Amino acid sequence: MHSVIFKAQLLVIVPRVLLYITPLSRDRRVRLLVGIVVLSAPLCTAEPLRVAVASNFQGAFAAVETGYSGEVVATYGSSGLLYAQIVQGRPFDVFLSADQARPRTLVAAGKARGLVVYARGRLVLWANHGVPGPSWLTADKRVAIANPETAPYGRAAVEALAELAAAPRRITALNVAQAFHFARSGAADGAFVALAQILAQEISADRYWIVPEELYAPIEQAAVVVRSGAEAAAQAFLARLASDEMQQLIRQAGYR
Amino acid sequence: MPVAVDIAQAALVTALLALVTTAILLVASPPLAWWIARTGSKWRSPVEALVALPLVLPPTVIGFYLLLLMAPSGPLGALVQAVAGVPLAFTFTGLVLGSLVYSLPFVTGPLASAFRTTDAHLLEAAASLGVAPTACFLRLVLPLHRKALLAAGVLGFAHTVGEFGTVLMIGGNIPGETRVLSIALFDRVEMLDYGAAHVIAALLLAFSLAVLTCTYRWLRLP
Repeated sequence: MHSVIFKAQLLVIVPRVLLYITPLSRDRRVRLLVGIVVLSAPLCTAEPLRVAVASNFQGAFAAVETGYSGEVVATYGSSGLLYAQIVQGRPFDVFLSADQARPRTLVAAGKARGLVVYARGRLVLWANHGVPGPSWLTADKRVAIANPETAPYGRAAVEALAELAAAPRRITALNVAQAFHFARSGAADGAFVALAQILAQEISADRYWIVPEELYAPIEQAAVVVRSGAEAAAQAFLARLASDEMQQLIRQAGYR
Repeated sequence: MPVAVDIAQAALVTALLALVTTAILLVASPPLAWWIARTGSKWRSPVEALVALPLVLPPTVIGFYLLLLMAPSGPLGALVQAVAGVPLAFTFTGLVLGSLVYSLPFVTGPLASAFRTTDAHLLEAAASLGVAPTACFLRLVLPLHRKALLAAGVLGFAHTVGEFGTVLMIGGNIPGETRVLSIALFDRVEMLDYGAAHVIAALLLAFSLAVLTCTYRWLRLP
């Protein structure tokens, strides 16, 4: 998107520059052009890093992105959706999944490498009203969860519900971001989301319940370098993600 | 859930949704279209624009507003909850409501165009024979435009079957209640289950083609 806008701007700028420099002497023209090329070089060379980010990490990603030297273009979605797009050949440089299984499968298929666990997610039940907890999950409650087939947080929610033997009415969202929206709009009574989303939205502490981690399989969020281009920059980005400084930031955002 | 059951269930929900929506629209649209076609009121343009709005609005815009409206805290959701005691968001009823909105122009539009061509002499003759306006509309105008009614119904039905964006925003993907075929297809593609995706996509394609072919044939009959 950015590069498209940039190219469109070039279409406007280049003729203007030509118009401006034609009346100048040859020597000055050359100097001006060299100056322009040198100054604009950084704009042209740095292709943005294309990062596929699982929806739960959307808020934290903004923090991780700040201070990164290059331009980053992030695409958000359920891990399953992003995985499917990578399998089908959508060019990404980095994939931040919400599970380990999908990055592993990509590595095994030779489509990615350099697996790093960058965060351990925590499942939260957020309720619009009442006291969130196991006893809140009655059959009349309408609870939004991310699609368990494609979103690890949805799968974790289904596991937790089974462990608790609770059967509220399930509203299936595309990803945790939509699950959050369904509850936020008031349309659903509550939602199973990531702790990071709750913290990012500054939801008050009495409105959510951190689901005990023994109720679901750990949400180990792994990142990989996707084999489609900017390998060095992608490696650097992953290394940065695993650095102590970033890890501390990620923990503050609501991960382990 | 077995894939075949999932698809059958989604097909059933889709058919039911389209049937209910079309039935309601075929009752509500003709008077509205007649008014639009005949009135000289200053309200005509705003009403026409309102009816046509779903043609140009992204379905996500409609879905976004509808969800807020239908939430138990939203005006419409609160009203229905108070009167009927049932929630509106993420229910079949809510989906019908959404379908009514986004399929309205597909039924009202063709009807209004057809009604505009009504021969004024016929209406005058009926009026001079003492036929009341309502009876005239029911017994003269509607039979006169039965082909337009059929076309409008088919368009409304087919469009309801084909809608995706709004349903994605307000449906909640509940099997047997709000999971329609277009959503089921999207799900299957996300899961990389191309086998099931092919079945659903082919179903929708064949259905749409068959319906349109039949309609064009009927419209050409004398």
